[in-house]
Amino acid sequence: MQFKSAMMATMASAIALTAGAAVAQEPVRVGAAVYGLRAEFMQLWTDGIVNHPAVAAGLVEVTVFDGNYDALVQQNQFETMITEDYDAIVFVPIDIEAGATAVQMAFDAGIPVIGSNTRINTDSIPDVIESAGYQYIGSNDVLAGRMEAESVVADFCDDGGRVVIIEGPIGQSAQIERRQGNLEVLAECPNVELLEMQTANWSRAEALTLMENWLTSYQGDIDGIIGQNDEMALGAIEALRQAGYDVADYPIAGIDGITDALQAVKNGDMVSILQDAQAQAQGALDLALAQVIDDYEPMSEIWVAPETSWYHYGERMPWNGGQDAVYNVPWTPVTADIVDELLAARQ
Amino acid sequence: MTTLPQEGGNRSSSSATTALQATLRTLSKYGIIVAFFVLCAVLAVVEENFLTANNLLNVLRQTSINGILAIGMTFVILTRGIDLSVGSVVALAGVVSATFATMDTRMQLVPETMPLVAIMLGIMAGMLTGAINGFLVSRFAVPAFVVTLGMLSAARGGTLLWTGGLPVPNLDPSYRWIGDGVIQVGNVWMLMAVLFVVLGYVGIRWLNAAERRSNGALGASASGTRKLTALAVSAVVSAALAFGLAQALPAIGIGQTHLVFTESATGEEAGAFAVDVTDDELDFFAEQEGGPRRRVSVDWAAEGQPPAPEAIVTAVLERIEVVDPETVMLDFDGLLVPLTAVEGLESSLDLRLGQVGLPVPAILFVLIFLAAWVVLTRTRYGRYVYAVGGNEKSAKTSGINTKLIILSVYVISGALAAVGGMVLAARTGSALTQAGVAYELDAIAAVVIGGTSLAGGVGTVVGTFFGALIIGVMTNGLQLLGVDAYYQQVIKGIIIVIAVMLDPSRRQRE
Repeated sequence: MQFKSAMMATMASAIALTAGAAVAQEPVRVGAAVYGLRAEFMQLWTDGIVNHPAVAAGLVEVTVFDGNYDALVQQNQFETMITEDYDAIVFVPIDIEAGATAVQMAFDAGIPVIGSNTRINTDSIPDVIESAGYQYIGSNDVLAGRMEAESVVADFCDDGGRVVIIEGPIGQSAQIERRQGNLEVLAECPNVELLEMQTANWSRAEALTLMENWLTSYQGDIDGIIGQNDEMALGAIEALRQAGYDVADYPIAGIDGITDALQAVKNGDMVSILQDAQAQAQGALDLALAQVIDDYEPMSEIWVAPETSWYHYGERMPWNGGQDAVYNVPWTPVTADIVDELLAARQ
Repeated sequence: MTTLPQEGGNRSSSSATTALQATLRTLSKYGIIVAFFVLCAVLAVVEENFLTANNLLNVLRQTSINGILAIGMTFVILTRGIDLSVGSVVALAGVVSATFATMDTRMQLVPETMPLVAIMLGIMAGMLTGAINGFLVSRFAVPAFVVTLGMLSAARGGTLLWTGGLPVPNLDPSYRWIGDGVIQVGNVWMLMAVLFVVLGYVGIRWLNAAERRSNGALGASASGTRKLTALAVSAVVSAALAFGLAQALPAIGIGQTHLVFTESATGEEAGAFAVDVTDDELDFFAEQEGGPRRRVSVDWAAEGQPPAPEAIVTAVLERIEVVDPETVMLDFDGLLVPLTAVEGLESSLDLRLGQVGLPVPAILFVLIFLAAWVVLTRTRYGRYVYAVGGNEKSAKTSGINTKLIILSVYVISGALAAVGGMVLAARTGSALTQAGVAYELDAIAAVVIGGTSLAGGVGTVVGTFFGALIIGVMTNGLQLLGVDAYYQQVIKGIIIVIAVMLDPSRRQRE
């Protein structure tokens, strides 16, 4: 697995990652422009899209473009895809404000664009979006912010307690929306005091330092920790553990469901709200194919109904003929029931 | 800041003016240290939690990774080079060593020494990248900026290739010891021994220098009797200091454990015993669920080691009147243990008391600093490093293998970046592929704040040590004060520039 994924990364960083066997019929060419492949989440997303059943069936060829965390690089990649005359583009922008120009270029060239994971702010190009039918599949970050905050304050919402929030990079859409969700819940618990709310830039190492210093400031007298992603929640756990506190005494929550967090959930150290990378990736590819191929029926198991497993969303995210403007992939709180299954899938 | 040790200065006049000048020179030489203590003093005044044992240990722990990187960077910058690749090497060495360290979870045949082997392999990965940097810089005269910029990208790419972009999780506790381990503070005798060695050494050096000043001979040294006297004085002074510190340290929280007692059922006040809580704290405890809490402190620094848990409990029971032992909880800074569960207490209590120990990363940082200081100031190799940075051509003319020296400093930097990377992985519990991004900038900042010239040949590792501490203390202080993270970055930038502007040694040079 290590070497297989290493090989995949090789190809991805060399720009082109092509999957799918040659078949008689010319396969559809879809470019997946993702903001960067350095962190685990986008790695899982990429695994999801290249393992889509339509790829295996030879119906589509997917090329993954690594945006290297740079809006300009992504825009250049759009130009490449337009020159190369791709049939559709799946787009994961680095930021909500950073993709409009690129999307407009693609639409001008008649190439459909499906947003995944992060929306683009469509305010600047409403007409283009309206006529060209930009679709988006992702997860509602406000909701995730609510869910994680609710899990942290569950035991002391009424009686009161003191919580801290470790934020993502200020101004990124995920941070803004998750904060909104966090604060909505805290507003519903007027007895809960928000001690601190600072950024650790999604980083485990930064969160570790921040939490160590907060433990000093408040002498360990903190009742709950809300991390806006798993990495930062894990940093807080390490800070508690290394300062000799019993992690089990502190409700701690994060978002994303990265592998380390799953392990921590299994140990009873934290709560993680899983963001389903596979559903965001495979759903986007199904939507792209639906725009290119007439009467296309989605092939990913995420649309399976009636639901037989947590990742069969069925009625919670109906296909609706692939015509909806927005598809919200439901969040799944990682519980003891599914954590082993998830961990096994990551091996 | 003077380049080379210059004790051999041939000044025979011994007027008061020279003494004053010498003092001023010394002071300005150590301007960075003065600045550090001023910063600490300011923070101690404005933030009550700054000057606590735990926080100071936190600062050391938080500084250690950047400090270790910065020490390697000092070697490179002294030769007029720069190493931009250290942040990426942090990640590369982290994942390489973590892969081997976690092998036993994937393979069944792994010797117990695997973590050690993994650490060696991580260091070798760092040395390899450093060797490539050094080779290209020294043999092909490619500018260090360009070579290491290339390595910044290549090593990050190598990291991603190695793991396929995924982190390497589940590090073994024995491996993680280098990041989160703690070594108990030594007892008062150990402190005395350390002080004695330091004072004795400084004393004899001072005597030798005085001898040289008075008779003007370069190789002169003080007489045996005077040396013995100096050693005796050092012994007395270090004993006095050690016992004095043992008494004084508990006052700021070192060697002290807080115990909080809760009387949950009766709600009555606990019996009279010495409490060192303020009224505010008392009110706060009273509001807590489970009735009033009282906090006592057990000072054990003078004893050298924490007392056994049973002994603490016995001592406490003698001082309070317990109505019903079932209702009494011991609270070790948040860890609640029923009084009746003393048997099971030992490990938990050890855990709490262990906080007062020295963090392993901090010890590594200090040891590496001391080693680097010895190498740079006490060895021929160190003098060559300065010589190459001061003037490569004349160094070459005088027979120094400049290419080898340049190669070696990059290997040192790579090896230390690897150590930093493994400490980081051990601290966070996983080797992350995005670890260490932009760490090279903090390392360079520490070196520059410490007074090392980017033009090469001038600087000290002592300066770097305090430069790293200044950055660490600043980050810690600003976070304790709750300053917004974005202001923190602005303030950090301003302080870097001001520190360099105010550096008296720099003014002297100009």
